[in-house]
Amino acid sequence: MRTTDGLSPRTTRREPARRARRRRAVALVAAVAAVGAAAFGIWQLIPRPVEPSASTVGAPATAAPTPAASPDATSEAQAAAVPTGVGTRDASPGAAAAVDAPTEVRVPSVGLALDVIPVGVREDGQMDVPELVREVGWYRFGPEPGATEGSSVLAAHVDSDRGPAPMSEILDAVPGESVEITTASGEQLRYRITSVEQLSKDELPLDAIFARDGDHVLRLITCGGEWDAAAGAYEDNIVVTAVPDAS
Amino acid sequence: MKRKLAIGAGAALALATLGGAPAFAADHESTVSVLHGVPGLTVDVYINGEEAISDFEPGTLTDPMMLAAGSYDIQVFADGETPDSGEPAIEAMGVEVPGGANLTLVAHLTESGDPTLGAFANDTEPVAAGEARLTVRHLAAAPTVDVRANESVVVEGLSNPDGASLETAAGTVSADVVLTGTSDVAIGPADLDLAEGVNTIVTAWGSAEDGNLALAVQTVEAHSAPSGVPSGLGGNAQQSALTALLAFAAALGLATVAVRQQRLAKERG
Repeated sequence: MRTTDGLSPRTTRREPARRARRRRAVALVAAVAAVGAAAFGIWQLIPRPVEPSASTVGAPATAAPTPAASPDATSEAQAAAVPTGVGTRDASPGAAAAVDAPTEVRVPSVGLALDVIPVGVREDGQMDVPELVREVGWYRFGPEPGATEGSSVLAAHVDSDRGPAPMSEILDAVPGESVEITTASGEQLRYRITSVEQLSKDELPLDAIFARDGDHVLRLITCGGEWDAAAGAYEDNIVVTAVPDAS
Repeated sequence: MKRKLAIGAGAALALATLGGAPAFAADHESTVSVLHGVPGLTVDVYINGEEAISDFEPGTLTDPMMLAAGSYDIQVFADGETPDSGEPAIEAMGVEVPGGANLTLVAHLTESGDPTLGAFANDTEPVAAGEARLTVRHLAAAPTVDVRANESVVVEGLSNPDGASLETAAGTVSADVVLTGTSDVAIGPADLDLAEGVNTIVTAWGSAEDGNLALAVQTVEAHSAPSGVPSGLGGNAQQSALTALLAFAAALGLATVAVRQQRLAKERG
C-alpha cells in the first residue's frame, strides 16, 4: 500500500509503538480465530455417510414376490383345464374408486410425526418427493395405506440445505417398532417395522418397492449413504418396510 | 331363440397373429377375458364342452381367465340351452390360444349389424410412471367415428372392427364418440378414469339403428415403477451446509483481516 507521493495517511502516518503492539495483538487473535473457524468449516464440509442405526445389510426384505410355480410339465394337462363359473361384471364406464388417502405418519419410538400429501412423478420419471421437508409424500399412483395388496410408498427428504430434516429420525428406527398412519377419513392404521435397509440407488428393487400386487406393506423411504456432490444426490436409499399390525 | 352367430373371420385371424408373445410374460398361458357386446341376447358360454360363463348379459365382462396355450372350442348358447339340448348360437372350434398374451374375446355386431366374434390383444407393455394408456375399439353397428376426450379429437376415423391406442397423463377425461368429422355425438359423454399404469380399453358396442350404442370399459395392468426416490436435498443430513459455508466465509474474512493487520504492523515496524 505504499504510494510514491505518500498520500495515503493510513500507511504513511507513524503511530505510537503502543498502538502498533495492540494491532499485532488484534491480528494474532484474528489469525487464531480464522484458523479455528476454517477448521470448523472444513470439518463441517466433510461429507459423512447417513446410515440407519439398525441397517439390515444382506437381508433384503424387498425381494420381488415369487409367483406361484407352474411347472411347464403340467402345461399339457392344463390345456384341458377350463375355468367354470367365471365371474362377470357390468362394463359400463364408472367413476374412479374413492381412495382414503393418508394424511399423517408417525413413528412414536423415534419421535417422528409428519403430515402426508399425495405426490406423483417428476418430469424425469422419479417419484416426486415434497420440497417441504416437514411433509411426507405418498405415491398416489400406488396402493394407499390400508390397501389389501401391494406396496404403499411414503417418502421424504432426509435433509435440506438447512440441515437434517425431520424424516432423518427414521434412521433410528428398528424392526419391531410401530408406524401409525392417519387417513383422510380419520381411520388409524397400525404397522410394525420388519426391516430397515440401506440400498444403493443403482441396485434399488424399484419394481418390488412400488409393487401393485403381493402382500400389502408400507414402505417409508428417505436417502442415506454417501453424498455424491457431483450428482447432487445421496448414493443410497433407506427403505423401512412395515407390515399391517393386527394387535 | 336360435339365432346362429357366424364366427367372425377376425377371431381366428387375430388369435393366429398373436404367436409372438411378449418376452416378459409367462409363455405357457394367456389371460383371456370375454366381453358381451351383442344387444338383446343373454347367453351361456361353453369352453371345451364345459359351461364357463352362465347368464352372460350384454354389456358385461368376465373376470380374466388363465387359459393354457392350446386349442379351444368355444360355444355360445342362448340362455337355457345346453350342448345336449340345442345348437350353439355361436361356435368357434379349434381356437388357438397362444402363450403369454392378454386377450379379450368380444361377441359384437359388425358395421352392418351381424353378430360376430372377435379376439383382440390387449397391450400390457408398461407405460411410464405417471402415464395411462387409452385403447378404443369400434365394435358397434355404426359408421366411422371419431373419439374425443374433453371435446378434442384423440382418435380420428375409427371403423368397425378397428382399434387405436394412445398414452397420456393419468387422470379423468370426459369422453364421447362422434360421427367422424362432425360434432354429432353418437355415444356419451362419459367420464373415463384413465388410471396410472393401466391400459383402459373402451369398446363402443351396440347398434346405431336400434339406438342402443354404449361403451364398455375393461382395464389391464401396464404399470411401471418410478425411476427413483430422490429424497435428499443438501448432503447435510448430519450437518448444515449453511453453517459450514458461513463458518468458511467467516474464516476467510478473519484470515484476510489477520493478514492485513500483520502486514500493516510490519510496515509500521
